[in-house]
Amino acid sequence: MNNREIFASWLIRHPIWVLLAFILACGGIGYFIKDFRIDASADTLLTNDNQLYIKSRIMSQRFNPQEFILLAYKPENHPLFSDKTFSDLSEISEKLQQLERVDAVTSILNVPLLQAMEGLQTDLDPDDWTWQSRQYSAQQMQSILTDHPLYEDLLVNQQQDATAIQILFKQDHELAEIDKQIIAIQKQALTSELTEEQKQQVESLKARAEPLLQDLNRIRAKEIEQIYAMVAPYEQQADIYLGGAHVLGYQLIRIIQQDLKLFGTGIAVFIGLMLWLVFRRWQFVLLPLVCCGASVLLTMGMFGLLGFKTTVISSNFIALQLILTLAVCIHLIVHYRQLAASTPDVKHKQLIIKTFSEKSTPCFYAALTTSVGFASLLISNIQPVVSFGWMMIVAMLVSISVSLLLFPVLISLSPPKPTQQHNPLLKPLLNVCMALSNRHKTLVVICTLIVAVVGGLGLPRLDVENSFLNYFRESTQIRKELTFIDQQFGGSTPLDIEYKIPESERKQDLVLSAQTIQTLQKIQHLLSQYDAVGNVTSVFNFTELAKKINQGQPLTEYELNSLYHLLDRSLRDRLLGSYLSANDQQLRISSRIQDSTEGLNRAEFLQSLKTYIGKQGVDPAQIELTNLFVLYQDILSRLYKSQFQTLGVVYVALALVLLLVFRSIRLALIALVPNVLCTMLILGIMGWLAIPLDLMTITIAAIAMGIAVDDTIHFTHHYKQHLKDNPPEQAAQKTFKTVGYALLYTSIIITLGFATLGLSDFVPSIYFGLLTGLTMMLALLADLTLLPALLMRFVRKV
Amino acid sequence: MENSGHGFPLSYLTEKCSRTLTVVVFLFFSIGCASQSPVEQASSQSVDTAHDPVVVATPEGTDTLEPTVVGYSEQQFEDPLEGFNRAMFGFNDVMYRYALIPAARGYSYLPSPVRTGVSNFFANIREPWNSLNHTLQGEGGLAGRNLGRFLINSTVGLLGLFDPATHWLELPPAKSTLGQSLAHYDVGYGAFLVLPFIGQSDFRSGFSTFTESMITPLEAIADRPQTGYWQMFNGYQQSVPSLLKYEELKAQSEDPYRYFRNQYLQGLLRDKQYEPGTEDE
Repeated sequence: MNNREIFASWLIRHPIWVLLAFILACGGIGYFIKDFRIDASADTLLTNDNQLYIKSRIMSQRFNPQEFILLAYKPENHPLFSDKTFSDLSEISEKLQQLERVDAVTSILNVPLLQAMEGLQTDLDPDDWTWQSRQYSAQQMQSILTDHPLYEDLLVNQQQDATAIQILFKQDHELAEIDKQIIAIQKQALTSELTEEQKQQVESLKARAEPLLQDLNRIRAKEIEQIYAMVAPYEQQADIYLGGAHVLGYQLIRIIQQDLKLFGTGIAVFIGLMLWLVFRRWQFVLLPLVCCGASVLLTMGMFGLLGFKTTVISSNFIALQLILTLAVCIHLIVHYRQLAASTPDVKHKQLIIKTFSEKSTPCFYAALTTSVGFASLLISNIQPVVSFGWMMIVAMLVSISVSLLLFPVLISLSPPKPTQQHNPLLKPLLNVCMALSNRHKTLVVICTLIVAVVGGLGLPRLDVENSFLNYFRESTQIRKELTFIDQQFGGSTPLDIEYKIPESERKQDLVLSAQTIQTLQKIQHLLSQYDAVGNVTSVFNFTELAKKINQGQPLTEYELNSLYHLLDRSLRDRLLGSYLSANDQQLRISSRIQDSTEGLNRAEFLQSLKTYIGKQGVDPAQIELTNLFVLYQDILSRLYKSQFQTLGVVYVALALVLLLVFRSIRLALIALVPNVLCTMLILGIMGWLAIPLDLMTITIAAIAMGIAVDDTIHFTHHYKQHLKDNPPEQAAQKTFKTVGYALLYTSIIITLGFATLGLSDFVPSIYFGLLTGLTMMLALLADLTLLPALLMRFVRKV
Repeated sequence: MENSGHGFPLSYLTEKCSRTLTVVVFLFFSIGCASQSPVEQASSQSVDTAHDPVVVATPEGTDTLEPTVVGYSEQQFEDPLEGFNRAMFGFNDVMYRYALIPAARGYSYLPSPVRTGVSNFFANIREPWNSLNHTLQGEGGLAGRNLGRFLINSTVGLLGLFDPATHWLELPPAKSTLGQSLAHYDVGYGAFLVLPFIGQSDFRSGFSTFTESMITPLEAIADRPQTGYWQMFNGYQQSVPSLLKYEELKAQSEDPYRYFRNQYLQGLLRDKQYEPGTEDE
């Protein structure tokens, strides 16, 4: 008896104890599911220690823009500018104001409508010039708000059929304080390396912020739900939509939670059905399901324990883990059944021990190759993808341990009756493959080459894009709402342009010179030329408004300066604080990019913007592009490289694993061929179908390969066994008969499992499911045609 | 052209605050009236282009926009009397701080209807001048409006204390000065000039103020020198809002004389280049 057999027989002898221990472990670790977190905030998708990120944080601290939610109100049967609208807006605003964290509710009713003034005045009290204090008529409101330099696209859309309420939130002081300290330390990373001590300081500060952030996120989610409830009564007269970064995050979490539940149970039910169809024994249905359930429970508990946060990218880990656990179980079951069929007189317990002993090594290798696929994500250099890699490695470890431990225990408790061997439906399919690979080797190779070339041509078409709106399926209500706000109220993804006023533009005694304002004007005009740019606001808009009030006559820089100094300080901060930092001589142009713009090439846009800012005679050193749009783009720009790096690592790592398994370079290389082809092909297909590489889809190729290579290992492994006492053709035939079915079962069940993700409302999951499934099918096809053909041609002796 | 005076109180600082003290004005008027100033001729070759239309290169082509804020460089300013001006500025500064500003604070405590009435009264008195100047500038419609306003406000508006023309008949005020008329005929501003009490001014504007205060409908209700006192008071009440801000602005500039001069002259040059009421694009 070898060690594995001893272990297996020990397991079988103490099934109850093992089970009890298991239940205890599940209970113990499962308890930490309470700490399991889904975090879909934009921050989770960023690499948070690179220079761009730190710069963005410094800017956001300097200009301190407030957190906000947009609420769009689009009347159905009454005009936008009407008393009905005004009274609805007042009521809604009043209700919103009651939320504890709400700082201010800004709408067309309470913003200062300075145009109504007859000329610029410095001792103005802005609250004197609002609808609330003046009760302007509907027509007056319309004429004031038409083409308004500040409020168009922000509070009223261009078509003038909808208005927005801006809900501004208070800052959490404690968090802001911690943030300030973190940024103060990280600032130094811009010029020099941080010391170990500083790094630790940052870590401990982050740890302090973590629970506060979690509370804040919980409150945010609750607030959004409350707001939805508040506006519900008005939805009969008007369409009401919510938008803004946090609403997007909230909706993403909702959809991820839904998916986790739906596909958690959906895939489980579906798998159960498939298992029943294939194996026709309840033990063979229950066993994998119990393994799957236990694995997911333990994994979620461990994520809670380890503090892994599930992000948009890792949201389908449950589906993935179910499928991976299932694959292990199916291999065990198929092997057990084959042993049972081939040696009918051997005792049940012996069968289990034999199965365990013979299968644990290949299963371990299969798990290893799959883990290699995930591990390759670790070098992607993209933080959320890296953490997804770690999560899946943990998940894989759990799955393989659970399956190998539970299988012998559960089967020994209730031995299944022997069954009829194979499903007759799949037999002709297997025969065709057998015949093809045996008799038409050249044809197989030529077909493979043609497919490879055609697919390969799709590679250059592979594009890199990331649009959060596109994460929601087009037919969903939430996609419609977010798109409406995106298009009508100035876009979604913030892009800031920081302008450091050069020495040459500064003038004695003046806060801002005319030249500086004109530089802003140029940049803003330039921005407005791009379809994708939504709302743009800076100090320039205020000068535009001032000019309008000043009978269309430009101000002189001295008048502007006097105006600036004569404004009440608090009013000045309120109006200009987020656009001008006079002490630092820095200006901020705040813009939002419309995520839903058709055919937007983000990289090209940024490049063109930079080029043209340069053409305005602005020194590039004075300009800094920051905020989410740039940060995402930075990540995307690395995706391409990252994709091929991860794939390269996967190929090399898998070649090593294959070498380890087969102890032959030739075998290892042959086994690698179908898998490399499949992954390249899937990328080519993505290119042809114009599915862009994004944070989600970048993981597909590596993961799919990690899973698909299992089939190759099983086939090659058995071919090598049979080759010991058979000529190559017969060895191949025998291999088809023994593992062929197992490969078909696992691949088909796994593929169908992945295909169920196609029903999700979350587009990345759809792509992930369908494309991974497709890779599995392609790999299966290659393993059953190309692989045997190559093996028979090149590996004729052991 | 002078500041159009459409309620931009800042411009009071730059505008001729008072229409009095005509003797002083007259003295300097004789030095530098009319004629194209050398500065304005030189302005075309100036390095500072912050007052020209803004040219933007975009992917769609090149666009030209009207600026929202303009600036002029000091090379474009004509201030040959800087020595005198600085001395006068210093004199004014003392006068403002110890006399005029405290008085202005007191004045601003008067009920707003009283202050509005006073301001209406004086605005009405100069309607004939507005009308004449509009006529000189070929603005017949506005000239008619000025006359209409004068008739209505002098009678129904109780000697101009109220402004029914604006409120009932929708005939809003439209001020125009002799200085504007001169500018209309391309008469330059001469040179920068600080007048006692009045503050920032120039020769063209000084002439305008002098002339307009010499010949005034006030003569119909009072005699000299009484009309002079009236005019003095008028100038003062107009400058109250800006006097109240004088110290605040002065505090934030390193060289107040230069600051107030530049603000005045930039406004002047801007008015020449950009007419009010012309919307950009």
